[in-house]
Amino acid sequence: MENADYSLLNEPDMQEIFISFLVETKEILERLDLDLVELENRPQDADLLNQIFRAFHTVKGTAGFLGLLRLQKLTHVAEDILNKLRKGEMVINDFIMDAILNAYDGMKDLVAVIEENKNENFDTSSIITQLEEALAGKTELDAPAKTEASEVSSDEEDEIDEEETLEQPVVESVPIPQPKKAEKSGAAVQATAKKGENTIRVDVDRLDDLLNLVSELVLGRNMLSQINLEASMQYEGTRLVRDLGETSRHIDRMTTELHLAVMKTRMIKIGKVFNRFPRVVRDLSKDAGKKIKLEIKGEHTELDKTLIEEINDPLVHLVRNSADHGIEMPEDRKKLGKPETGTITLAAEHEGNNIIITIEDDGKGMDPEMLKEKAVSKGLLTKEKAAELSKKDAFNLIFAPGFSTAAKVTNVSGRGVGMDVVKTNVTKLRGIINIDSEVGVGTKIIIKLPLTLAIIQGLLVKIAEESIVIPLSSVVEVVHIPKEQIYHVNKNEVIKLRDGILPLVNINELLYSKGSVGEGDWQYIVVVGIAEKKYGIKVDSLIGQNEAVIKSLGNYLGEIEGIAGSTIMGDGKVVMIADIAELVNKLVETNNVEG
Amino acid sequence: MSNEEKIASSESEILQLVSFKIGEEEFGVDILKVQEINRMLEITQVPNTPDFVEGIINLRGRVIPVIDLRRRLEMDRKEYDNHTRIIVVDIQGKTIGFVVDEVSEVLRISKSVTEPPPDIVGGVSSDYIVSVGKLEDRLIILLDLDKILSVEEKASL
Repeated sequence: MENADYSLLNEPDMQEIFISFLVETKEILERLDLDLVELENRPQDADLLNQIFRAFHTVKGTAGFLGLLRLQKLTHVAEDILNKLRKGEMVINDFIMDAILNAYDGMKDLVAVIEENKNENFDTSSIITQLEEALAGKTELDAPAKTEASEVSSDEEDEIDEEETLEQPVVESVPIPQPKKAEKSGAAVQATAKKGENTIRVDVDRLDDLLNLVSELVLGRNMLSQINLEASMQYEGTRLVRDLGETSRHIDRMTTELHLAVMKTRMIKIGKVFNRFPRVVRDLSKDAGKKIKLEIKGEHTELDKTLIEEINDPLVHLVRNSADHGIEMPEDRKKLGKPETGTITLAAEHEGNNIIITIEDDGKGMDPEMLKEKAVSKGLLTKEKAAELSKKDAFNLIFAPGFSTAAKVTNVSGRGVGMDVVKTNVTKLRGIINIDSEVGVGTKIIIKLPLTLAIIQGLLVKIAEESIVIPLSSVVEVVHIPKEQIYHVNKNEVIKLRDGILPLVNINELLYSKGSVGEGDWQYIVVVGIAEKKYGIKVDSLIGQNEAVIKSLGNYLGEIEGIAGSTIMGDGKVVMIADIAELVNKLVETNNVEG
Repeated sequence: MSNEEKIASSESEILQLVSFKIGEEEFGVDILKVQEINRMLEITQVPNTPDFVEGIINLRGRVIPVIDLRRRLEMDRKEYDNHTRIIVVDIQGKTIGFVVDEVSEVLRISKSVTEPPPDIVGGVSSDYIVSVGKLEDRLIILLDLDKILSVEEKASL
């Protein structure tokens, strides 16, 4: 098989088949991931075994057709084991389970190599050896087996060749029936349920194009509204203006609906991300010798595809942290009077135009005092400053680069980079993170993300002669106060807002060095919320609320600090969209404004 | 293919250039790189960018950055007037506008009348120059737009 010929994969005629093989195989692998973890919980479930067997079988068939010999061999051996399992000739034990999971990982890696290089330069021999050992009934490393000791029937040789003959391309069998008892277990997620004939596969590029077109349409709509407004003032009362107004409103409404509809086509259930976690948690708990149950809630919550891709890494970090640092060892939990099995809950829900993702564990929680000490010892802040920190601020310390509370560095976490990355990614998505923790009770991390990235609701304001859009999602309220009510504390401006003190920031200093804000007797203050804090931004005037289509500044300028992008207004003018979180954070860092 | 390669490829090759003026000097860029030439449009300032980045403009619904070629070539700033133009070029997939004092004409010159640049021409460092075209009564400095937007410059942004 070392002389395998992969030229078939490069033939133009085969491209379509090759691509659909990749798409299909990845889908099958995604489903397998879940099913395999589920199998560990319900090793006797015949339906589940059949389903897993069919998955391997399908991949084997297509791999054979495309001349992917290694993939074929790998799936073939795995299939043999599964065949025995489903026929009751073998019983699952930990060794077999590990072998199958390894085979799954190998398949995944191999498929990645195939996609990338169009060959199979990936060593599968150790996986196959392990599988063969499992098949031969080797059960060393056999931890306390969950099931009755596994005896393997001796007549295995007769069995192996049973499914040897490869069928013609098995392209038909994508729809895999859902495990019927999936609801029983919290970990099982009913991913995309019935894939009937009602769905079609669409290239993401086409959807992106569609969204771009709609964005352009929104711009056009904004311009039309502007023209309508001007015309109605100039030619008030004429029939033409009336008709223009009506048409403009109609187009306005249709554009909004079209926008919503297109957004919906790009929405993906967050279950797609969540589904990976049962396996992650399983592996982690096994490695660490902990007992952890993963509960998934709200996996049907939908969000934009781009967000789905970006949120995966932060979630992996957070779930790993919960499993690694959060949940205690079973005996410790017992001593504390907690159930031996720790629980990690992963939940998602909608809230207005945002999606809220929570990761909660019932582990040991975080001690704010300990975090402060740690930060001081790492030189991240001074003792005096640490003493002033609130509980919330102390929790936020874990996001500081170079901060790690793990006493020892394990291979999953503790290197002190993870949370930093989480924060960066979430900030990039214009999200907000909140931590709540109680020593001995557990930790809850809440991530709030906007539903979409392409179009935002913005508040258009004027700051020192320049118009700028502040995303409405960060605006809490706007107040108008007389000059005398702005006080100075340590050179920083503050106002009294109801019962609290609100620090003011002058973002103009960071953006344009010219001019200054606030020459009149009264001052507009836009109150913005960033994570758990609130700040007031001084602006000259409020122009209005608008729907802003975010346009990047192009790859030449790249990312600019404090600027989320730009948008084109109804009158054709380009206006910057402020990245409030970044601006305020920067100011807070440099000026020491206390929130 | 870079300009240099193009020039080297054939001695008798005809170069088609768009020529424009900054101050007293006349410059040329490869016509194939020029997408369009516009009158001054309203430019929106972009904060926290180097000073040769004038800002961004709305080019029929696209947002593109605009660079003041004067500032980029380290010459003094000049007020915009009726002759000021934005040359929109397409370089390595990036669409960028350049502000120039005035656009003169489209020129066809033979490769044979061009020479490699001396160290400094018209106050412009030879780094940004492909070659110098000698016409009967004047010189045309052929700019290397790729260099003007080179990686090092980008990194400094």
